[in-house]
Amino acid sequence: MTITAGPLAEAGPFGGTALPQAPLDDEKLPFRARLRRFARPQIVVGATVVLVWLLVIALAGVLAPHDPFSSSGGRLLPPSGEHLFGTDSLGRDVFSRVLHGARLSLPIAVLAIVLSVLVGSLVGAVAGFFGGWVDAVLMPTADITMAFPSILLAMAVAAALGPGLANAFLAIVAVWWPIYARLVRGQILSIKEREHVLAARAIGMGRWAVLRKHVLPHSLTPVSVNATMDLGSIIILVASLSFLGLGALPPSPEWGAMITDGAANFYQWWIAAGPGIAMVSVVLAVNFLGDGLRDVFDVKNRGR
Amino acid sequence: MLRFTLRRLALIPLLLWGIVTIAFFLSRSVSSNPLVTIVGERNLGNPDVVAAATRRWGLDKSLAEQYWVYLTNLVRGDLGTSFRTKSPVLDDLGARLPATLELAFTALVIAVVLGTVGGVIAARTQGRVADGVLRVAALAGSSLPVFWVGLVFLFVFYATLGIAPSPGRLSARVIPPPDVTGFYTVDSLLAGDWPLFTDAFAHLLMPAFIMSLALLGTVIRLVRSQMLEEQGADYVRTARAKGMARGQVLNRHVLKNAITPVVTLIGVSVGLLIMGAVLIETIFSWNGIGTYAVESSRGLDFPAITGVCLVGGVLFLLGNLLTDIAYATIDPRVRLS
Repeated sequence: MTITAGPLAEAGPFGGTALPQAPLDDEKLPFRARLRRFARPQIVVGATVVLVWLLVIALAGVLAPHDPFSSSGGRLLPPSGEHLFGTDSLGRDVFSRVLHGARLSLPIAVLAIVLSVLVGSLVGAVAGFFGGWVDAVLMPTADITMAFPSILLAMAVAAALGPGLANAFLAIVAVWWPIYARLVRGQILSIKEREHVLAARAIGMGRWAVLRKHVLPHSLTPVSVNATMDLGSIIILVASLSFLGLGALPPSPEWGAMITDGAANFYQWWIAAGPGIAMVSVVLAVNFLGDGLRDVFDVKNRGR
Repeated sequence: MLRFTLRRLALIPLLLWGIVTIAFFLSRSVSSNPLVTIVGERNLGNPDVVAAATRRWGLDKSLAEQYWVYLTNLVRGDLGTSFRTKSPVLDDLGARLPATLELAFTALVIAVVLGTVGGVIAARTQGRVADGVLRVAALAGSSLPVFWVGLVFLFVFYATLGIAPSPGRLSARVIPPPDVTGFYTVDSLLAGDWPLFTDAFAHLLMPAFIMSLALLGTVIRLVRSQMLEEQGADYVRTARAKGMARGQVLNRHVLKNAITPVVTLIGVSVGLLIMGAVLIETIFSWNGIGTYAVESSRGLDFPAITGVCLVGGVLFLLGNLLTDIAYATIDPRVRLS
């Protein structure tokens, strides 16, 4: 990532928009100077916690002391040395289930955001770059989708497709792509008037080639920063759908589904505490990371 | 201004048509059989019941015909009949909307008041510990899964400490006030029933506070950055040069200018509040639109789902429109076009 998204509003000498004031590439800076820009407390804390969770995902099978799907002793046991987070209504070890749940909740959220970014960027780029009737068809579709409160649309899609984690995943992509379509379209509109794009067109480059080589790469930074910042919301949305019974189904150790079990056994607080604390730690870490990256790259545009 | 408002109002039916169309075809593309919801599992084996229900709900007509019937009914203000409750969706929604509005409105007030106080404190202690704590707290507020926070609060304050009331809008065996606005707090006051008001208010406070958390962080951050920006303005220097105390300048002049943009957040917040309503109402057994949406989704009650989506869309669009108008009214520099 070598481009910083500075303010793009000023008019350039030839009527287009000016180049951003921030240095365009910091590749010339020594590596350590570049690294130092990321040495902020939010980023260090966030990245460390995320790394720990990545390790958990990789080693869940080794780290988990018990089988997440079968009883490992008494039912509804409070936390102890043997069962760090206690056991649930079927006697399963909550700690082991939380570790295995990370393998579901986190990759699904990342995949959902990646797919939303891909779909949204494609729509936004095509709409912004070609304009005209393409824009007039694509953007109202995005606007209508965004006029749904996201949870209601996700619930409607999940209900129509039937419960299941894969369908919850599709529901979230259906809700989230317009945010990136809007963001990328705005970026494209300002980038395509810049001199280097005009120059590329002038020497006879095709429109698709210009879009791919000279326009899209420049919108990469704001999109990835926003994607990091949205990841936390997506993790929560996946869990929310599962909590409502529209996502992962039992006996899945998905965190939201586990909290449903915790709500049913309200006085056995540890059943909901385990997955809840896990989710809060991940989402906080990801949001810290996004917050820090936003400061580093000075991205303001939220696209909504 | 009037032209802007009219043009935006004219766009709303178009957007609503889009919402209805998406929701309609989404719900009809479903693989499972809505008859299970309508007649119940037991009657599915009875061909007479099934045939009658299919006819009564128009499920024997083609998709295009069903869509046309739905749209023409919609124009007349008929949202169809719920598969599950067997009563008109519009009546169901009307009965449940006030509960959600009361909750969301209280949450909004809490978020704006606490957020402004927090933002001012953060701006005045800029760079010191309090500022850092508030920044982290603001970020944490939007990082917490509300349904889990709801459970934690209920466990701590209701089950363990016993200082918060049980979930629900009123205590058990308390009769709701006569229906005027549908807001239990307002209706109980109108009826002059003070104990009923305190009961309704006590039940409202905790879910509304949890609902406000999603918004609180955003308000704190906005007020903080606005305060810091305004502090560098010329009028602040002038007031200080004329001998006005720093605290007085901040409270009299800066704050007033700094909180104006908070109005813009109200539009954005509608979506967040609806999301909160769905989850918090489920945890707190709050009989509003949110629980209705959840019950309808679980029960494949598609007329109801479409109706909820429509209400959500209307609230969202109206919220945004009101925000734009309010902002232009308060801040004459803003031109609507």
